[in-house]
Amino acid sequence: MDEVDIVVIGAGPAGSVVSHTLAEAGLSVVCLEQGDWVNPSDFAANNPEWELLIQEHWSHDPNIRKLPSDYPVDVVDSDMSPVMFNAVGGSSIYFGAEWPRLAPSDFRVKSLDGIADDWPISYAELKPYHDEVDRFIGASGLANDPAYPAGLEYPMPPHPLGLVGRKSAQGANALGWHWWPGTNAISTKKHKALEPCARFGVCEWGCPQGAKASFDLAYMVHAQKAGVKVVTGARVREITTNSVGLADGAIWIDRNGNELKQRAKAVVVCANGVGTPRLLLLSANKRHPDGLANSSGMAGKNLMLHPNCSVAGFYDEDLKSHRGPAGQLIYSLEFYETDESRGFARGAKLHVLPLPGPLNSIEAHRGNSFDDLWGTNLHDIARRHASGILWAANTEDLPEESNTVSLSSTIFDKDGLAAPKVNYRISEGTRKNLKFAVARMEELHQASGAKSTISTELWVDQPGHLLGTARMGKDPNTSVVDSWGRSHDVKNLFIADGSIFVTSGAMNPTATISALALRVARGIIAHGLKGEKV
Amino acid sequence: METSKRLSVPHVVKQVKLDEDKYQTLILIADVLIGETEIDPLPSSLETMRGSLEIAVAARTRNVADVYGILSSLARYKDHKSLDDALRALSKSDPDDFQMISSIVAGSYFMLPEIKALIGYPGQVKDFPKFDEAFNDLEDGILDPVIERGSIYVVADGE
Repeated sequence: MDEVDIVVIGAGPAGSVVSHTLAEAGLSVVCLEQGDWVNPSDFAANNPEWELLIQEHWSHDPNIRKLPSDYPVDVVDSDMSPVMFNAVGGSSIYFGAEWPRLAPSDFRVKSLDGIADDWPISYAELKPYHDEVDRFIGASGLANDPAYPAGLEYPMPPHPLGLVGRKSAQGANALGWHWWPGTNAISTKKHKALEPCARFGVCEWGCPQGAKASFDLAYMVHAQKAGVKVVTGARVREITTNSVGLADGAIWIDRNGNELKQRAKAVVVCANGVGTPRLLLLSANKRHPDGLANSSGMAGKNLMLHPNCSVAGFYDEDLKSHRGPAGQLIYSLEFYETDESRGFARGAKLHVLPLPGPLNSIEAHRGNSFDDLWGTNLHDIARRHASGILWAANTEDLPEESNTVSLSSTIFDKDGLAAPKVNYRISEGTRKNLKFAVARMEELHQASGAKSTISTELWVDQPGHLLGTARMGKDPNTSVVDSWGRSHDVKNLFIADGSIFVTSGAMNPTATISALALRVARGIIAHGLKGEKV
Repeated sequence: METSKRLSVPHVVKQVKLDEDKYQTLILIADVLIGETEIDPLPSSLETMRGSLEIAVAARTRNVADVYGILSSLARYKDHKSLDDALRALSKSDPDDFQMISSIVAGSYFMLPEIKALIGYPGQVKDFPKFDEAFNDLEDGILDPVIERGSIYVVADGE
């Protein structure tokens, strides 16, 4: 295939932003994506049986969903099962579109708390890129959250709190705790290809309205207009290098099993925090025997997954819990920062979502005894669909070299490529953090007047935040890429996804991933494909 | 060539065809697990349940044979009491099978239009907010205590 300036691997949020930005700058760009396009009319919630469809056919977990675009993930030695969606738009097809930025402290964990590492960039350095992405996608929210420095604004007004958000906010007020109207990558007005939110309430299972800024709609369609060639059904098996060790393209397998090579002057990997290290390791060769860009040994290490926990509360009144967005209606950063008295470092972000659907209400009560759930009681539980509130939390996950993505020796995808093997154990500190967050969310429900609650201390099958496995840093001995996403080892190889996070924070990461991707792309434009303009 | 195959969208058969034996087993399971109240009808009393069960089986799993296997193992329990006992035992001995079969009967029942109306569930539908709803939600000063407490973020180098 003809050589292009850039081959981008992966068409998720990072790949879409990188592709668009580089094409707008006049570079020729091919984006290789192993999945294909998904239409808003495809999603489960277009059907009355949607609550059944999401249990397997449209599951979050690729090991259950098993779509042709999916690859298996070896989780036999993991406390959790990382999830991702493989399509144009990537995992943003299935994200909740909660759109918080990392806080200033997240970039300075070492300086502030004496643990992990500081990022080589700061909140202020990333802010202009955040603002630009927010304007491009039409992020919605209310300005001037006191949990951030001044100057944080959004281009679109926030969504209504709704009955669920107001009830939750009243509880937070009673406790004197921080809360703020949710910021979401969900349009409140018509914006480019995005429709205004119709509150379908099923954001995490695909938006039937096309209001959620999944990056197929929010960015990639614009990237195509700018000249990007998006190749779907293209599973990359290797990034290739030339005689002097520079990347010269990618070998990919099409949907019929044929191998092709896309030659390029530079390669940008945007395959998520599991797929990216997998590909770097699959690309080992004589010059790079431990995997591409891995002289530090850090490719695949320091996996962070933001263990989630939640407390569902059920109330007497009709809260119209079928209404979205979901999306976060409100969030609280009251417990975001370190408080040594808690016995663990860092904290959690708490957020409120509705709990749509009678079968989902039943599923939430699976822990009940047989007699308390089935028979005549079932009707009362199904009716709770209207009165449910979910307080959920991301806990900050600190980097540990023992939490890794490597190559499975026993599981392979349909093209014969080794599956990523995840070795992940939840640390003692994170366990404490989870317990602490659950206790606070119980308090919030009690303060709001919940009649019953169901707590889940760990969502085993829901870590979609895949971070840290190709960390950025100044030192080539301890990091994979520099602050511009450029590989220390291979000067025309870039990484622009959640892999390059140094620490995880506790914020939903896609806003930061997107801002970093924009910064990586701008760096390529400013510094040249091989850094020759530096 | 498989170029027309959807890669990122599941291929879901809309509805299976249940033979009479499988239907009778499944509707009895529904009667046991769902029951009835003064206002909520017994599943077997609803003519629409058969079609709904056939949709539910297809929607719940791509491995329909797994469902049929569970039904086969429960087919010998022909009365409410013995099936109730068998389902209780299944819920303990094989929670995954029990989850599958119970979600099918519950899902099929609660997606019926007449049942959704009974429990006040409109489904996931378009429900546009009024243009000033977000503003009105804050108009009574609910956010004021948060604003009055002022800044809570931790100052960090380089912000």
